[in-house]
Amino acid sequence: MDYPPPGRRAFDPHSSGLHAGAEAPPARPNWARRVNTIGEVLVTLGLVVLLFGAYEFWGKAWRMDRDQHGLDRDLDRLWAAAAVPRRGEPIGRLYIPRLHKKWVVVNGVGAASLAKGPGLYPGRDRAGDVGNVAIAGHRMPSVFWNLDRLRTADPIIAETRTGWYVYRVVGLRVVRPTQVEVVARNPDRPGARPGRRLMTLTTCNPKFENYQRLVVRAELSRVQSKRAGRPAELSAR
Amino acid sequence: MYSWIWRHLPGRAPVKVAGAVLLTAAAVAFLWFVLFPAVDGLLPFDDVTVE
Repeated sequence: MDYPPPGRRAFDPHSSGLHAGAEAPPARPNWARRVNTIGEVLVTLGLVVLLFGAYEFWGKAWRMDRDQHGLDRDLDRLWAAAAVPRRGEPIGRLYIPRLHKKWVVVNGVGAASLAKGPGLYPGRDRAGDVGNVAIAGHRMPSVFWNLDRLRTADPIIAETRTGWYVYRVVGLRVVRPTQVEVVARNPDRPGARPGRRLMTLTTCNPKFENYQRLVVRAELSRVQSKRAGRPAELSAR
Repeated sequence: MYSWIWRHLPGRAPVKVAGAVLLTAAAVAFLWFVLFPAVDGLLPFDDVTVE
């Protein structure tokens, strides 16, 4: 560490005058200063990486909460206008009472879409359809962090413009990222005609890693129209 | 590096400290709001889809 040059003492009226004048700081060999600088740069990079870790955990959650807030209002507006959501726009709401969670689901599973919340795989079935409603979400505290805590028969509720669709968990699986059949319209026999009304949630597994996918499968249990109010499962656990 | 910055900050010690805090805050804000969001999408940490 260099200290401020002693020459500053020239401004002190009580100075003995011994240090008067602009003195240079004590000379140090060039290599020592260079090593010092390299050390400071390395320490700084270390701090930046730590800060990035904090951003990945808290910063992204904060951004997503902010985005979800805006999407909530956008969704009501889209529904009021009966508009078809484009890529990245909100398409519905998803509730998991067991995890005390509620999200606005966006249309699409690109990075930009998933940064805002859970995303619906494009071109696939919608809530209530015979087939498979496939939704992806990040394994982060504000999204599918505790998805592994779901148990069989737990309700997962989808809200669309016209109704409530109460799904119940059928099973959890861990698969390789290449096993696309889990989001097929008929996941048991990909390519065959779908016969069940399924919903599939995918996220990365394990936490902080991405070499597997955690897959939750649920099946439609009942449908309730918007006029009948909110479904009882929303308050159940 | 840091001593160089310290020497080039204007004013007396308290003013320099304020300047240093301000510089640090600016650097952190730039990383948090500009650089990290831009870099984040390039990293594979949170691929969640099957493809």
